[in-house]
Amino acid sequence: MCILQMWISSLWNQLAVSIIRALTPKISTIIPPLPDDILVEILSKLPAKSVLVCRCVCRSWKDLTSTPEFLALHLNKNRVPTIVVQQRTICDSKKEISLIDCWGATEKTTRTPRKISVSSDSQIPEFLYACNGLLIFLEDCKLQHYCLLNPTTQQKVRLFTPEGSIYGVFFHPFVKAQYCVLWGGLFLRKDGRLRIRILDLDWSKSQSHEQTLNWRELSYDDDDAPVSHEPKFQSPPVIVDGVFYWMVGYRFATSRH
Amino acid sequence: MASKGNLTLKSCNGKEFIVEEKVAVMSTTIKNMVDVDDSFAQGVIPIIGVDGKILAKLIEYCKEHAEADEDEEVKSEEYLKKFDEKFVDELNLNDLYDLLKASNYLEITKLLNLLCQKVASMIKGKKPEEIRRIFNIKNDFTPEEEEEINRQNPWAF
Repeated sequence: MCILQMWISSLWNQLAVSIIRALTPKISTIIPPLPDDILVEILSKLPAKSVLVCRCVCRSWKDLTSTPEFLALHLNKNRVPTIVVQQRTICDSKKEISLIDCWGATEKTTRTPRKISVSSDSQIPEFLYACNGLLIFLEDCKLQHYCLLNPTTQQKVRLFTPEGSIYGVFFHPFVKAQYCVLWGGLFLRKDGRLRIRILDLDWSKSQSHEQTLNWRELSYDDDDAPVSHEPKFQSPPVIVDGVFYWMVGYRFATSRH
Repeated sequence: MASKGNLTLKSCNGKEFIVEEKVAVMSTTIKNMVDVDDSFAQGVIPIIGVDGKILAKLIEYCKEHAEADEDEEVKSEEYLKKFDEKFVDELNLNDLYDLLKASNYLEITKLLNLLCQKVASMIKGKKPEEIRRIFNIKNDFTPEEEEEINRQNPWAF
């Protein structure tokens, strides 16, 4: 009986498909593709998840949605969802981290937290910084292992900074759609200056989750005052017009990007 | 020749439409032409690459919106919303594409936005193979590439 039902339903499906095919006008096969600028306009109106689906449609859609220009356009058009990071200590050595997507939430709506795994071998990840939905966790404070996570795409990058700490993740003000991470050393250079390094993140260029990381050191002109103090963990630097500022006690240090 | 305050638009297949200037200047492209050179306002403006059927549709849309801009009481926001919905729902894919291209070329921003939103709503929530079928797109990934993309984008499904 069951098999018969299955057979009938599969027959019915076949029939439905052939009817739909017959009804679909032949003309649809000769529609030329839309110009790229219009297509970009359309795709930028979609929510992030749909854009990711569109990347699987064909090569040109994948290429169009992977440019920094597209990402900037998409970011401008779509309200960035508010995400609340919830951290809970389960037992002494284990923490649980969940994200709550507050998109469109009102007082009456309840949102179920979505558990995320930062790293499989990390027992006590610590949430540090966030910027436009990009989150940084400290995985291991002794080894200085950090984890950079994009919860929307679930892209994850391990950062290893053996000689210093990470001071934050920032949105690149000039090359929109690019993020950068600031990393400073606790050690001094030979000439007595503090080393600050920067990491440009270009997700579109990364082919795998574990992308190669290219840190570059911030350089100063000889006339410029060298950076003498590192940023404090409690007050991460802010970026204004491409210049990092951070509080150093009563003194004020700046660094040009 | 069009009377004062009216413009004549000519489609690529020779059809002429006489429209009020306020309707025609909904198109930024036409507005710029008229602003720069007064002689355009008297003569016939050829709309290259847009046939009569599509031009008629464009004029229908611009007429409603120009009138609504002038008198909000007669054509309320709600009325316009309903008009817009009906306008895009009646289009087949071919006309939708042609209108998109024409409104892009003529810079009718409101209409371009409306049409883009329509196409976006046709994409939203669909699987890649459904999107390919609707828009008649060929899957040009190799099986290996497809596997790689699916591996990279597990959250997309």
